[in-house]
Amino acid sequence: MISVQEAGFLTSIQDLGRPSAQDLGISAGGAMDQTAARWANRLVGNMDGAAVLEVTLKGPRLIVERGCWIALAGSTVAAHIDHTPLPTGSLAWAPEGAEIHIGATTGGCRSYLGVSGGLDIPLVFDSASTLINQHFGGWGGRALEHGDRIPLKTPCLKPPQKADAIWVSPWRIVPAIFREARVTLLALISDNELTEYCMTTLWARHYHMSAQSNRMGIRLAGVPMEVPPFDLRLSAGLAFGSVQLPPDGLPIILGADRQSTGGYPLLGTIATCDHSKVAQLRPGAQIGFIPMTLEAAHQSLWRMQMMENRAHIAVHVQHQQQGLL
Amino acid sequence: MEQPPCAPDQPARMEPKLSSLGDGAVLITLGDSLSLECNARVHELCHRIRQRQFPWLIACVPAYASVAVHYDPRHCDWDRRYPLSLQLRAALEPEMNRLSNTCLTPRLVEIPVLYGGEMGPDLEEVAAHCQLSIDEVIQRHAAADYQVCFLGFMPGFPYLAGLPEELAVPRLATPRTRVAAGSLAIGGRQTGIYPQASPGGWRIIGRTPLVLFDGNRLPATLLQAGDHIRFMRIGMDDFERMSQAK
Repeated sequence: MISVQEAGFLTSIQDLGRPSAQDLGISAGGAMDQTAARWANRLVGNMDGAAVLEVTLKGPRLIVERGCWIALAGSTVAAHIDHTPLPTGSLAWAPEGAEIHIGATTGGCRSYLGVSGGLDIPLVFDSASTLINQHFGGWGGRALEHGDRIPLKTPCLKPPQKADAIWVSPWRIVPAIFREARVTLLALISDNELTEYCMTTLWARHYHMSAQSNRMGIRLAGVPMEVPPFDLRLSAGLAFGSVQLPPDGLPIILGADRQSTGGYPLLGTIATCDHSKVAQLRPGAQIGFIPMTLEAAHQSLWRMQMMENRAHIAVHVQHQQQGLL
Repeated sequence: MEQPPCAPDQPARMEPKLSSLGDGAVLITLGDSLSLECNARVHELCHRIRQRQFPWLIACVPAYASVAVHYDPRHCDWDRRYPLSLQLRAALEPEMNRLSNTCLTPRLVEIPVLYGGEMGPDLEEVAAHCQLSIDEVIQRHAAADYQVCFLGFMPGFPYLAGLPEELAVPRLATPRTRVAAGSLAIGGRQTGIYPQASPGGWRIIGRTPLVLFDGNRLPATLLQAGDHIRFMRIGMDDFERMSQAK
């Protein structure tokens, strides 16, 4: 069990979501930064889709009731096991009774805590993800609170020889380096339904992320653009990173908990290679959009995949060398 | 958009159009207006695509006149000389081109509704906008035949076609932060029922005591795409009785 002493700003149980339930009107959900969630799992020897904790801006204080392998991925964050620092991308052993303190995220917005074996959560429509706005799935459909005790599944890695000591790997393996930029540029694929004017305006402007943002969507603040009349546009399916243009002229980047369909016109959809950047935006972050063709997006995805595969092999080698398999 | 030539007595049909929704989904558009015939083809297309069992298929999400096909590029054939977008087109276009008008036998579902008052706070405004009395609005609304085009927006939320033209009203300029579960709403020419409490921009004209979505029930959704719906006007006594029976 992992026992929650302090829940942090918004800590919830997520995995890779339930995208195939979208035809019932159920949001795909899942980790906002799927690359990081997969990575937190790979570091501790789990399958990509095991349940992890998604930590937002300020993390929880947890006590592990039995020794376990843990890892953090996503934004860099000030984290410790008791007094020992726990860097993002390391594999660590937290012995029985140790306190995991995940502090403030630096650089990005979200960090993911993977535990070997995964969190033991009943599945709803094949996923352990929490849809907080629908009170659905995960930990009783809500964020974690003080006093929650989360059961763990059987670990995928063997315990270390010294099970009563904290150990943190000297190596750190993270395939994607999240760089904080003055202006985050997001690659947008547009299959155009909006006017020339809207698209030209979009490429030329910078926006900043509004504090009104959440897992459903990143609201952008800045100079509104003029929206063509659209009231009778038919609702259609949506993807993570789809950028809507509502009547107030300020774009919304759709997130994991977006609705499965929507009626606002779309400026385009952000390429998968930039989805982590979307998940890591903090309130106030400066954002711009650049066009990308579908083919270039698939090529970027392919390269990203190759990089992740190489990093995954490196992790596997470390697990083997330490006799954890 | 080019329309194929058609006989004078046949309605013009739009060519199915395939566009990208980013690099992880494609949108197949079969029409540009609310039509039951088009919606039937949407469901036939979803059925055909699912039957092919493509290894890359994650979800087929139908809407009024379109299907969003979510795919996993990692399960596609990564031949660098042959772009993924062409592969997907080659796989999906045959299904798009084979559509006919298959008739599926729909279910008929009766939905009890308490119109107006506390349950339908926008009914008066709707009547004023449509230049009808409140009673006329209720009568015309309940007399119509509706069809569930698809489920979207939130778990189990049915998008219904069949709203009489004269009852179409625009969405609220500012959405409400909370609309009660079971609320019957109109937004433009669309009408639907909120399965759970939620923010909402549509105009609320009544409420049903039925539970439209329950994750612990099998099936979880009360309604399915393709169902025929009739609304039955009920009074407060029946509403309270049906609510307690849950």
